[in-house]
Amino acid sequence: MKSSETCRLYEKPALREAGGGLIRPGGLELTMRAVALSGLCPGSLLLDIGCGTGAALRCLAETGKFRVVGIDLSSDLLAEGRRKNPELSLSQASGAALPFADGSMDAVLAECSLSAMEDVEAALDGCARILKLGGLLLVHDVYARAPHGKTRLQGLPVKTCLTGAVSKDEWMARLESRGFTVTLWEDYSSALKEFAARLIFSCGSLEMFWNCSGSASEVERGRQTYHTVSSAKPGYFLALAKKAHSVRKDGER
Amino acid sequence: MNEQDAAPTETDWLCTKCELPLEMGKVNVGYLGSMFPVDLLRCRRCGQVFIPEELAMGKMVEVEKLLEDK
Amino acid sequence: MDQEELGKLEARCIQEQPAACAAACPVHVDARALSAAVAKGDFASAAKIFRKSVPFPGIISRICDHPCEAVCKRREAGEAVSIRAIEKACLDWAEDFRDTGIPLSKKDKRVAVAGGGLSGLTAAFDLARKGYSVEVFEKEARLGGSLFRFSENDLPHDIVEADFKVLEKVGITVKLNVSVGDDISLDEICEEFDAVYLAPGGESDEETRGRGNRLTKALRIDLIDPLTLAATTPKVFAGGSIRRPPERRSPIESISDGRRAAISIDRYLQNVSLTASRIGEGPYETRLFTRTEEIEPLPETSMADADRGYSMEEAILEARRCIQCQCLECVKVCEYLNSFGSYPKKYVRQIYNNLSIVMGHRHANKLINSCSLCGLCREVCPDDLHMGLVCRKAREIMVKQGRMPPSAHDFPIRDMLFSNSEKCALARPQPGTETSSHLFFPGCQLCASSPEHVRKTYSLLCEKLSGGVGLMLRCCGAPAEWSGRVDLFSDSLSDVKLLWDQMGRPQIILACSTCYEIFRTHLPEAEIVSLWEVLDLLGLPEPAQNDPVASRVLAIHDACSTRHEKHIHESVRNILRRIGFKMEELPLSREKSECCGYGGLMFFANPELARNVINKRIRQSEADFLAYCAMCRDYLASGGKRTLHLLDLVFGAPIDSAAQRRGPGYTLRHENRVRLKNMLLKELWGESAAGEEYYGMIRLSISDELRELLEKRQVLDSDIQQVIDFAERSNTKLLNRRTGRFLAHYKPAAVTYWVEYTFSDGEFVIHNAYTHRMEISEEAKL
Repeated sequence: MKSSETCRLYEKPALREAGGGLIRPGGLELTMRAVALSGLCPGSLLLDIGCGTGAALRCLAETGKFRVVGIDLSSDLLAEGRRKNPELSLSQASGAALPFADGSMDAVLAECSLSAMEDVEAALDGCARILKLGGLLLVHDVYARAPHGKTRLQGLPVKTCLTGAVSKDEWMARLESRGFTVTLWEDYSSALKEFAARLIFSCGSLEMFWNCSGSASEVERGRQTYHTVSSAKPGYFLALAKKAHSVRKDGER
Repeated sequence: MNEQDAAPTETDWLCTKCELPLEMGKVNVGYLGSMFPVDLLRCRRCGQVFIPEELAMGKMVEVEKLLEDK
Repeated sequence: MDQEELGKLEARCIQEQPAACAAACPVHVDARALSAAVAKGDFASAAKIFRKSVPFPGIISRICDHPCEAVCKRREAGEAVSIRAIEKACLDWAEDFRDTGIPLSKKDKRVAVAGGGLSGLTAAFDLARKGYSVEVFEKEARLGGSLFRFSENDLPHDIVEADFKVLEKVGITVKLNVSVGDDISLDEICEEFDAVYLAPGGESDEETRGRGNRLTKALRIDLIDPLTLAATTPKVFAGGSIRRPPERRSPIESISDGRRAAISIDRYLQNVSLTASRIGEGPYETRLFTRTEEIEPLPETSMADADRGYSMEEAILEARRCIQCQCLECVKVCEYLNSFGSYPKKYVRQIYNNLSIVMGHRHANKLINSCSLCGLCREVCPDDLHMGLVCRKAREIMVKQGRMPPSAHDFPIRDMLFSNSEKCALARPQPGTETSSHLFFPGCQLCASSPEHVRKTYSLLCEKLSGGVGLMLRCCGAPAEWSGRVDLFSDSLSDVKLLWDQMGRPQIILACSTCYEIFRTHLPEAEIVSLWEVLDLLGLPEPAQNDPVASRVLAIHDACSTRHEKHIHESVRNILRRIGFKMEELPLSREKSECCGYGGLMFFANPELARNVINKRIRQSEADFLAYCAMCRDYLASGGKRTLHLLDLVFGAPIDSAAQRRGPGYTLRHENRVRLKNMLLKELWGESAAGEEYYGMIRLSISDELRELLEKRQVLDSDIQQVIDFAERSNTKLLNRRTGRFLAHYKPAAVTYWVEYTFSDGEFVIHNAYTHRMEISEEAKL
């Protein structure tokens, strides 16, 4: 599946409006909760990977406690972000090639961004690399609660965090195999439901939402996408992962 | 609300108590523990809301079913 | 519901059991699938199915003793399908393609096979494919053993040769002219090889005449293990014709033995259990049930050329005679089971999955809530599986887990609570008495649908019975029971019990079959009797017995909740006979009666399904229907069918108008219950009616068209009155300047009602009304 064929749903205005400017479930509340639970020291350097327009970063910067930096792939979102928050450091970079030195970050924030990425594995490798030992990865993202529906998810032409959902076990394996210790896992599936409810109000129906181009021929595909997604029973989680040790490429510590 | 709901009747509705035409605004709607804001026509003084039939029997039903399937 | 309970329930559904032919076949050829393929003309797929199970297809298709045909269900409707002939036709008419499979990497174990007949060669073939080194010892100068007892016509030699070519492909070593037992001893073989399979064949006449064979003499045939085919000597296994007396020898059983011995040897050489998971290897009787009564009998297709076998056309015709055995008995009679496109085994699994994972799935929720709980499935299931029990338990669990979608059952629950509220409920001894030996419990739906009948029946009972006939107007709690709301049901039941106790624990006379079932199950300490039994015993009032129109035929729709109460079925029919009607038994009646769609609250959880159920039922006869449950009558009538209630006949109502009457809508049902109580209080106890709510005096004008819409949306007049009352008193409403209409909303309980209206001539003209459950927060903003 080439990226040129996929429709990048997170750039759609409807998605951004539904969350009140934020394109993901949980909103700023979840961001602040993650940070509060993390116990990060003041002065920590925090990277928001997939920062969009930088709304979360602004919120964090305003607390005065953290130094923040954000990267995103979408030049549209970044441009808007720079307009709204010129004081924030926002750059265009891919999650798969993080332009930061090894062990340079105290924390990485990945808010519904990992499962929307082309190369999640590379992004996770990158997060592990740039975090210092004892650093924290704060993830909230989608997971599939009925994993047997997952393979069909991967065949869909639209790319969002929902279609990239994997099971909890896989998330744990992804993190642990890179030397992370998962210190917290909380289910926030109700936030996902609410997000879906908001989408219905702004888009008309969930099936319409999945209908990317709006053309009649896409309507049937939209409907099928909706059913494929719902059969994987998507849920939402918040996890804190501490970098316990480094893992070399060949898997040895 | 999307274009379909911004019908010509928008300014036809009047709040009888306040004698004010309704205006678009953010209204909190909720069900079974979930709550979130939605753009609806409402009276800017007393807050009385207008929910059209298509919304009640359409999107709202869909959202209710979504939230009910726990 | 735990895994074990689930497993037991799932296992009851036999739909996935193999067809009789496949089970009886020692190597389980799927003759049903094979026939389906040939019926479509797809000989290639059919040949593939055959070759998958049988190592020497050419041979078997000619000389198999076909135990499958002996059990073929087609025998019950004509003659058995000629399975073997069809198999031969597959080989004749499909391209020859034999896939031996790539042998697994070579294992360093060596196996000896004594006997180059079907059994030995099958074992050799299977073991070689698993990678073992196999050596076959055959006492004759050629392989095939007893195959050569068949004539050239029956089993041409070139067919045998062609089949045996696969043995070369998998690399078996063959030692001809070597007899194990005579030329080489079993001990030597055992020393040289890691495992041994003895399939020397059955004794021929020559051998029994005295020559014998040291091997066959030494082998304790009676001690060969029937499951693993292990002989008493370690590493030695035996099978084939040697295990059977001459009259029970079978080529296909010999092949099966060879196959099973290979499995045993493979396990033996890997040092794993020989016995674990070996169910169903040889032939067995299937648990699948297939009904054949309604199938038109057809004879065997004849062959134009018996030597050649079936031509393509003949084979296709013969294959089409295959019944494609299935069970699906319950699916055939239940629209609910049919509508979800599968069968109970799958449904039980889906329901279990829905309950055990954290998030419910809408499809499974619907599956759980759409069942009428009526138990018809159990009546027809060969294994007594009752889907209703599964669904009922699932609903209880969902309620406990807080996952039951409110919109599924909210409306009927509120209806039940209304019936038990002060406005409608009543519990009194007969006027002028203190104690009651009997208690008339008409049920909430009869009160709602035909309050007159309740009044007349009570009057009749008081006249005919002594000792005092009390009256209790209430709902028995069925909606709570059906929806899995255990606590609510328990409360309702306690209330009934208390009242019944206070009235002196009288015998309860029940007009409703559902109430009957509820009390029979949950109030076993009470003596209960059906109103129909009482009327049958006491006799009927005068007008009923002289109806001149009585020679009509009525088709009886029995209530599903009392499907096992034969005495009720009989009493109903006795009454009809006495009145002078002729009766027709519907295809599904008495203990097999279908639910009308009210049971289990199906109509509220899945209105589309309920409507289909009603339509199917009313089409089952041209005659007018007779029901003895108020809901059955109203639901069947809603489908446009002329349906009478038994009390219509007992009290001599005009037949046509009674049969064509549509049941009252929800609003009227509520009003009827309230009015019935008020009327009885006044007439019998001389007490004035309870005051009406002030909003009840608001006059409404509603068009017939709008009435239908309100009914569909479950909006009662009292709901509309409450909205208008609130709107007018607080002046909280919207005005549409263009149309001049008002729009107001109010939320008395869980549902918000919106009403569009205008006021004219002292009444409120209603233009539209709609509802939603989501709550809107309306705060004054300054």
